[in-house]
Amino acid sequence: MRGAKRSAKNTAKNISLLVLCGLMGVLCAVNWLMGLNIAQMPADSALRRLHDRFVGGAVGYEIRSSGVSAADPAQMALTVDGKLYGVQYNLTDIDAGITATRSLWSQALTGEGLRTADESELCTALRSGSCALLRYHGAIPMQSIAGWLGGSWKDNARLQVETLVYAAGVQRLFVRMADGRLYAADAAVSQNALEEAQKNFRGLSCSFAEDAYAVYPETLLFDSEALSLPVLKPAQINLFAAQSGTGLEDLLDAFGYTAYTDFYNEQDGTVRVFLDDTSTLRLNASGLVQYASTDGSATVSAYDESDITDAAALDAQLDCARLILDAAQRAGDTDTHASLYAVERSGEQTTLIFLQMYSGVPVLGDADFATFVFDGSALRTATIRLQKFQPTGGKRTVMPAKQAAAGASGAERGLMAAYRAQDGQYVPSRFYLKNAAE
Amino acid sequence: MQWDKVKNILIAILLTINLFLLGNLAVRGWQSHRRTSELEANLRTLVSARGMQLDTAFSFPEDITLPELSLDRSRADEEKIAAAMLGEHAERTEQEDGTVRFESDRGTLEWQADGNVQADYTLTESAPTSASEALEQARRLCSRWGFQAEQASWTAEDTVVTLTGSVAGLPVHNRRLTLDFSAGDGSVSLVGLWSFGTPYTTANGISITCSAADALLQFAAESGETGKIESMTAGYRMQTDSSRRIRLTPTWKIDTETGEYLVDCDKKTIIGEEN
Repeated sequence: MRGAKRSAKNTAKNISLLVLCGLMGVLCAVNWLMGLNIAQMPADSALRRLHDRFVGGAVGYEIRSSGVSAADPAQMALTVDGKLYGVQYNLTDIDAGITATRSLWSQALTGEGLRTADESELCTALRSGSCALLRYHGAIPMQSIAGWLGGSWKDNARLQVETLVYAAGVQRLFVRMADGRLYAADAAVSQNALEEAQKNFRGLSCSFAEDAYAVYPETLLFDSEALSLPVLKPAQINLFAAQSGTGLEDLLDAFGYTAYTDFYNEQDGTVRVFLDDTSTLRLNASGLVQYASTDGSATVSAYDESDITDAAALDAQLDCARLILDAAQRAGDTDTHASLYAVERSGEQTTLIFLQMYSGVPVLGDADFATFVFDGSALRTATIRLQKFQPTGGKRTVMPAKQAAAGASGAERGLMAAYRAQDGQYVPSRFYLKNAAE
Repeated sequence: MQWDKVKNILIAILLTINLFLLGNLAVRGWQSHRRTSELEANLRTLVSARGMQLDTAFSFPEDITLPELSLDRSRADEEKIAAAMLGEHAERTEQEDGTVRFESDRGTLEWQADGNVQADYTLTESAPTSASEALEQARRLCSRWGFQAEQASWTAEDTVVTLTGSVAGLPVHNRRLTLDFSAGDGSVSLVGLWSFGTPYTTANGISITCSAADALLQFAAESGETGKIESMTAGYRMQTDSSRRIRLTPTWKIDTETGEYLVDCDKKTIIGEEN
């Protein structure tokens, strides 16, 4: 009897111990969760998603980890029902076009073996059947474009690409470099991917220039083109104004500083210079941002030095620059966005140059809009020239590409539309791009 | 016998730790409650100093952190709706600015790149004469055309019906469709701002903390209103940015006696009077 009573008491103690241990675990977790700052958790954190679902917040949205491209295409085209349709200089249409053709490009850009090709081969391919075209401003590394579109290019990773053409009739991918050279490789895109892209792609009727004009054969000539763009005037930026954009805190944070970092004023307070032991950030109220760090260390690092591939390093540097630019443009409350224009590499040093865009159209200035120099993972220097624009109310129709192509000489084989300063305003015009190789 | 004592000691230790943790939680909860009460009292004072009042039924909302979201324009969905409304053979024209117009003998439908939509449709049944009839007919038409909304909410005033819905589980304050049957010529006009598809953010996307106190104070200081503030709701505002992409920006909606106001959570500026 006494043994049974002792056994029951022992069981009760064991159960109590288990319950108390469990309760302690739960209480520790609740205490820890209550101390967390949910706002600082990234949107892709499982804890953040759980918090939003059960405590309140946005739910049911997608998180896209890839496809955050640092450059936006200027033009896209696809053959649908035997006729070529294209979109240009409009990010909404370009985004929709990318969504429709992503699967096609991811297949076309998964491969290797680019070899030099000649123009006649491209002209033949353009006439051979359905084609898809993607053109960027400037020179973008092939590996980066492939990564953004869901593909992976194995060799020629450092090639700087301006235009990609996939010709389904000959199953070839043609690649135009920024210096005008043409390369081609075999590329296989499934019929399903092509048909799906053709079903969803929308654009305006156009055609390839082929060999009819002295421009690149893949130049898009839109039927009855009337690209009418607003004339812009520069507006005042004051990075130090309390109501200007998101304030300086985000910008300082992007460069690895805090709101408590030491600074001093120059030029009657229109320039603030922030300093720490290894770097300097010079901010001009009117929008000029200059950063420099010493060789030994840096406050901004794009990636962890250990065990990183060449491709991943460039992606990380692009991401790092893109986030800083994003913070700067938010701080200046500018109505522009940045698009990668060129990547220059020399040994361990990588220079990224960005173009400024207004509603998908480049705004050209006397100097590059933004330049970032990385030494390995460390950001060595950065210069950003923030600008703000206002439409004047007037509009200007850009010369149609057909007309411009007819007037092209052999040395000017590329065409672009862009804003350029003229009498204190920014006026959209058509420009010829000289072939750097000639 | 020795184990028995050890278990007793362990139970005592665990009880003490659990009581401490519970106490800690209770103190935090109480402090949070006290802070909220004090904040609400202070806000009532500050808001009344600006000539406004918080309604007695006003419930002070908690701060919320929301990601900035983006939406892709879906021309395929736009075309599906056009086909359902105007028939398969509606004529389609597209302008340089991305505006797409559909036209047939049943009416017209125009989609703009920023999500604005307007349409005129000739009814095949008799026009409604009361709010309830208008509501019923609007539901039928929207369902037939393919306008679907998460947590759809319908309101009718005379023969004008408004459809709103949430995106990502939260209201989008300026995303609504209004169907107006009042023309009297057997047609209905549809105007509004609408979107399709699932919104998205990126892994490095920005989240914004919507502080109710900040928004309320900014509103009281800058709106020039003098009436009662009835409620405030956190949600999104649909807009296109300078790159013509559709964004969902975290925004407070403040309802007053006289109308609705939107306050940007990030910039803390009043966006505009809606009504």
